Amino acid sequence: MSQLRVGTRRWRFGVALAALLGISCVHDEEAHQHGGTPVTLVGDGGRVRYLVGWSWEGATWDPAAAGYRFVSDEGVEVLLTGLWVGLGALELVPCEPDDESAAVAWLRHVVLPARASADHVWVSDGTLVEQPMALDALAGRLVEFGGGTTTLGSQYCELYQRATVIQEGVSPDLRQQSLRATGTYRLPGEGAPTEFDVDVDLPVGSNDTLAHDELGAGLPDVTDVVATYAGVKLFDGVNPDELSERELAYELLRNAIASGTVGARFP
Amino acid sequence: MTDLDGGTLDQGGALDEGIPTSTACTELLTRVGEAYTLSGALRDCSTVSGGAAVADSLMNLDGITIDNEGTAMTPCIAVLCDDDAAYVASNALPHYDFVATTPNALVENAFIYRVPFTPEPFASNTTATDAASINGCTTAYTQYLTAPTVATQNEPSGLCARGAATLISDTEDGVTHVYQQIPCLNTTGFVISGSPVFGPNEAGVPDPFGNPGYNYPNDTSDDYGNGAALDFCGGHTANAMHYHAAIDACFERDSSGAPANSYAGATAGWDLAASMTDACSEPSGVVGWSPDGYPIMGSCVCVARDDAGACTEVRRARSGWAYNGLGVWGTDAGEAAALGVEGSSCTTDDDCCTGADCNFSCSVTVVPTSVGTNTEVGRRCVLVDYAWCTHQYVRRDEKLPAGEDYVYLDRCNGFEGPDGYAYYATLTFPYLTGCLRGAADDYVADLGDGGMNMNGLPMCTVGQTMCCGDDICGGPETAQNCAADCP
Repeated sequence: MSQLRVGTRRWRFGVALAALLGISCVHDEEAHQHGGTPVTLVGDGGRVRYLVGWSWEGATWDPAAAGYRFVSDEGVEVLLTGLWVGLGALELVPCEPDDESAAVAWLRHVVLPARASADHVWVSDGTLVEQPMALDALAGRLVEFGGGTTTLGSQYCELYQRATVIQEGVSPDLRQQSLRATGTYRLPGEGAPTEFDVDVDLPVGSNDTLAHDELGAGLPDVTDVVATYAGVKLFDGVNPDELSERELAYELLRNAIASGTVGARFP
Repeated sequence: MTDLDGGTLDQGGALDEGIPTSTACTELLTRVGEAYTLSGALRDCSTVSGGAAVADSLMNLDGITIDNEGTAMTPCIAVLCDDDAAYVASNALPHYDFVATTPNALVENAFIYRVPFTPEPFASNTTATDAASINGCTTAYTQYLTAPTVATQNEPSGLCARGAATLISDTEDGVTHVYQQIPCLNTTGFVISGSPVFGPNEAGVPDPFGNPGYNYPNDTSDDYGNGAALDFCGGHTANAMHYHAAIDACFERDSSGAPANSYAGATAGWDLAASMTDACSEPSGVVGWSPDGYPIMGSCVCVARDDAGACTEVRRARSGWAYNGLGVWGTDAGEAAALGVEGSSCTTDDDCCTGADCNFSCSVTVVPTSVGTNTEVGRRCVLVDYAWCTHQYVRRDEKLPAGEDYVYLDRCNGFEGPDGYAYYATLTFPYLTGCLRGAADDYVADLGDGGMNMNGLPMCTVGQTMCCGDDICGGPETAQNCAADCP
């Protein structure tokens, strides 16, 4: 069997040199999709605090219904009265060179610390924090995830986030579920809204580019890495009537985690 | 979309052989002659004896667009045949929305696989190394007791190929069976949606040549593992999306050949033990192909057919490899402290060990019964590291144990039944294939600069100072090994 890898191993000296010097990692296109200025977090042994929260920009709080109202990109009117997501792990992802030849890969392997996607699997460098918790998305609070971590020398460009099943006894909101969502939806042209109360027990993950957080610095001597999930994107691209309850919950979970934007607040 | 030879991958289009494909994979098939220099004139597989079996087994990906973290991508697969083989082109994307179980991104990779129509099993008198004499795992034992978190330089067992594949043999009941090693790392076949199949071990990190399946939760009440986790269909990303295992429901097809189940639907009710022991109602379909020409089937095996061809007995495939632990490979005085817990019954991971230095998982696995040569399924404290060295293949007294509803597979995870020989997917080591029953001489294509050998490293040419294929994880060739690898 053979693998054709045409076009992926071109020598790009500038990128290679930058990679060797550890000054690469400009992911303009991806970062701009999230509306931020990409930054590189230089791992110099400093402390990092992970914060997670939800943004309800674009939604309206309905006090009578005790939920957020918003419209999806496909015109689905949603009233969300409950949303709990199991967040299992966060990990800073070292920067990747855009492209490289085998020679550059070898040189980088020799000179630099292991990177995120080094060959077969990623190499965790100690920034992984696993402390599964149930996030109450409607609570509106920014919460600290885990006890923080310490960078170990890599240059970081992304944050990996993994939603996971929350085990029995950890939270009253999620019990062997990674997401539970309640509320109503109404498709364009439909009359009465349809109630939903869905959950799923699957993990999903997502990478998001680190961007500069406009809110500025947090604590002294601590870099805050802030993941903010966009509630109004929950139903984007989803037609609930075409999905089973489990499939709907899974799509909501995927959208929830994928909606994350990650800001870095430097001390 | 990924740039392919300077062009753009388009969507749409179809071949005439009945497998709708995107033009990207159709165009990729124009390069078969480059990948396989001995290939003949290519044509519709339905016109070639043996071709339809391969072509008709492939997943119909027409119209499928997957979500890759907000980016739409289009998986494709296409096939053409010459007189001797099918050539399957793929861009190695899953047929479902990408599930990021590791930080590795999903990217397109162009593959062309060759499936010969006539497998050539090795003759019993073929020169081969007796598998029972291979003892590379003593190195893993010593390394683990010395520095458990540091992997040996290469996969140590000697049971998989670090460079050129060698032949190994088992002798059972006076009959010698000869097999070809699969590579320790990289492609050993492909699934019917087009992504490559890898062997039953990970690389040297994070768990030294660890078992890809031991990060799975046992059921929905269990935690997901911390290592190189697979998605619930059996795949994950590295340089390319690949599968170490295959969950039947993920690869079931409807009458049009399209995926029968969504990812969420296929993985509902996750319960490893039940999936290994529940009775089968009907034979599984093809989930992939091996480069020696044998299919890789799902986990339900037809073991008998009547004169009319109807399957009269279906059994669950059970691996002939059982968890036997790393401790069998040495007698060091420090073993009890390092490995004492392995193989013990457990309910949760904490029953095995706790903390950052814990290398054990409480996982559902197949273990030898205390009496006889049979096995049982249960939760045991298993070492996640050194997958090949913690499992042992044992020739069972009965391939079809009386009173049981499972069938034992051979060393390669295969079974010779009324439908001929095939590999079968299991949820324990080696998951898909443990070796090759037939020759796969065309495994390595001569693609020159753009090609990859079976270990995923650049192919060498005489005179080059880098390249070759020693499967050192994390880097290409070195001057030390190049001389030996490159004549």
